[in-house]
Amino acid sequence: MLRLSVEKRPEVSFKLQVITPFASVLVALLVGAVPLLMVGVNPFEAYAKLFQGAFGSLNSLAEVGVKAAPLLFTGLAVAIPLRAGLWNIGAEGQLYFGAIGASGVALYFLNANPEASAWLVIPLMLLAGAITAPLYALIPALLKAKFSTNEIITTLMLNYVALNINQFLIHGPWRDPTGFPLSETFAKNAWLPRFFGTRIHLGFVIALAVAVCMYFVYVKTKVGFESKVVGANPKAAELGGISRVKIILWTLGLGGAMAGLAGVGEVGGIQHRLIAEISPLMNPYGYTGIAVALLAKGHPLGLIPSAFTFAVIFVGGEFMKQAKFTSIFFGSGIQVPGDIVQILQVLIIFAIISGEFLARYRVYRRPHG
Amino acid sequence: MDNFLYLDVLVGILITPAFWAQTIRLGTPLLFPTLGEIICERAGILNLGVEGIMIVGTLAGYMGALYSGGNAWIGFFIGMAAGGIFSLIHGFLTITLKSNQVISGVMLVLLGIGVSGFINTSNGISLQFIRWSQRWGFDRLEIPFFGDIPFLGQALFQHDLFVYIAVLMVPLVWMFLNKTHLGIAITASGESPETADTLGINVASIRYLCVFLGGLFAGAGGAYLSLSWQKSWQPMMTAGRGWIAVVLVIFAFWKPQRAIWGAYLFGGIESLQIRLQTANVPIPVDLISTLPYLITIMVLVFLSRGVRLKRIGAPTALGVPYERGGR
Repeated sequence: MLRLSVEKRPEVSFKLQVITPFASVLVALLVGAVPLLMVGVNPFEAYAKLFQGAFGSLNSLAEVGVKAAPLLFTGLAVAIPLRAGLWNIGAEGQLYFGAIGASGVALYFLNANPEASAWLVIPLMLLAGAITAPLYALIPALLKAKFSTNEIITTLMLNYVALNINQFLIHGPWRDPTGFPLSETFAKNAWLPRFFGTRIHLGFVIALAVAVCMYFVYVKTKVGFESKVVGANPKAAELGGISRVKIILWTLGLGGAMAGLAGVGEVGGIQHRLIAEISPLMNPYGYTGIAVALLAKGHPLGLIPSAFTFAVIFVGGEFMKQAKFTSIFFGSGIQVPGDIVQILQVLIIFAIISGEFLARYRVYRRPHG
Repeated sequence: MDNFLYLDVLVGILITPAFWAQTIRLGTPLLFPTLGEIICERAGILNLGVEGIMIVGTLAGYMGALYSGGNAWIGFFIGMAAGGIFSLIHGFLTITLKSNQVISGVMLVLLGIGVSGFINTSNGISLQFIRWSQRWGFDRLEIPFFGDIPFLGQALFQHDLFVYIAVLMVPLVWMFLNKTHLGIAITASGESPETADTLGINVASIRYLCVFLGGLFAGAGGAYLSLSWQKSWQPMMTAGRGWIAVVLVIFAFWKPQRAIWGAYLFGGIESLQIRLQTANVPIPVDLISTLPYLITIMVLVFLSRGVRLKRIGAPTALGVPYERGGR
């Protein structure tokens, strides 16, 4: 019988650290073949469709960018507090609050002054999103700082609250005069500019810029350094005179702002109105942000390829979902459920954490006896 | 101002026996997973994936009943078994691979949503359009004498069997954890795995067992939702109950005998929320719906405020992977 034992490696090599994310995606695709085989679909065909859907045309490539923008933001929303050891599971709710803030500005200008310059309206929308969302994120932050209330549960519960508040707005005060549960369409001056004749919008550019900026915040600023110390060694941080409260408020607030900007991008750049599902009900951006952050191991520049990876799976998955396959069990005309996207997403993270185990430990065959 | 806080509406709800009956029925899908998570956490494993396990339980239980020709018992057991097996993923990742328990738990929730959606879509018939009650019905028990007591009878004694099974589980889990050798070994693994190890307890096996038991209970909670409460299936029908169960474990101070009060308290809040939505209260329905979530946060704040969790019974080694020294 094969007897395996594990042993801790003396140190984790840098090469392994870099390889694991790439290997994880491959492993996830490999394991993801199992559910595909269960519906009788050839995994190679399915993945070919997936990649065709993501890279097949300029437009599909642009769609990858469209999805990558909110994922990059929500990835940052999770990664920034995580660096200080805080779990922000509430990016989804904060995203909705950002969208609500931006919609408030857009709807105000629609009624008060539809001719106002876009140069005024759009910065105000971004600002509103970057204020309302952090305010919402400050609720769990304050509770954590003051009462040590577990932020995982509070941020998560606030997601449900935010979704309901959004429902309230589109059913009540902001309801479209036609009666449908969505807000009025924003005036054109509140539409984020789009580029290249595709749906790629200003939010995408801002997301990339913010991710790069955040790298410099991490390495150059005091808050960036202190948040790392708090995350790595809270005891040392306390002895070193770093204020725990300050770091909690800063990181969760900043994370909230990131998620808020994702919401601004979605209502300002894509929907042009406040709707019930700003973030798709299946694969919500806020929760996928957790996966984005983990795949990148929290590194702000690593978040960019990580967000793109998940965006490719999203966009390709949408395409694959519509394709018809010939199943070995059920004949032709079989469709792959879109839920495979969510499964792949989780498998990537499972592969990452298994990979970390292999990087930390050495598995060897135990001699007999 | 005579309508302040709508006390008349509130009192009107509280004096209807149907409200109390609904409270108990809504407390049941919280009681099952809370008991399971208590067992799991007592062994030192934090399983945040309860919500995902419950979602798997809702689907497996529903399909089990559907494809066994309408046998709710078979459905219920399949829901439980699916929950137990599904939770072993968390066991493997956190016990064998010693991964971060938060990451694994949160991902398990997303996986539960994905897997149940995948099975539902690839099933051929979309399950969310079938209503269980139209097919076979799932009767409440006819309890002679007690069921006929006015008010109390309707509130307490006109439920289906699973409601009573959940109540029965409370003393059973209490006995299991406190009065059996295995229960002591579980507590030891959660309090001090090193000591447990030197006493010859296989900490990893104990923890696997507890994760599995927790999964069985969470699966039961899910199966109850689709087989008894809703009598139909929808994606994500657990609506955060799994997360509320995680909070209820703290509320219960990790003690089964306290879990029952927490579960029914939250069942009551949810029941009240449903009734307020149909009552003539000029508060928008969407805002009333936030009630259970806001109250969960408040309870959690109240519990964490100035209290050292250790003192109210948090297992010392909760959330810490156990590594044996040496080989």
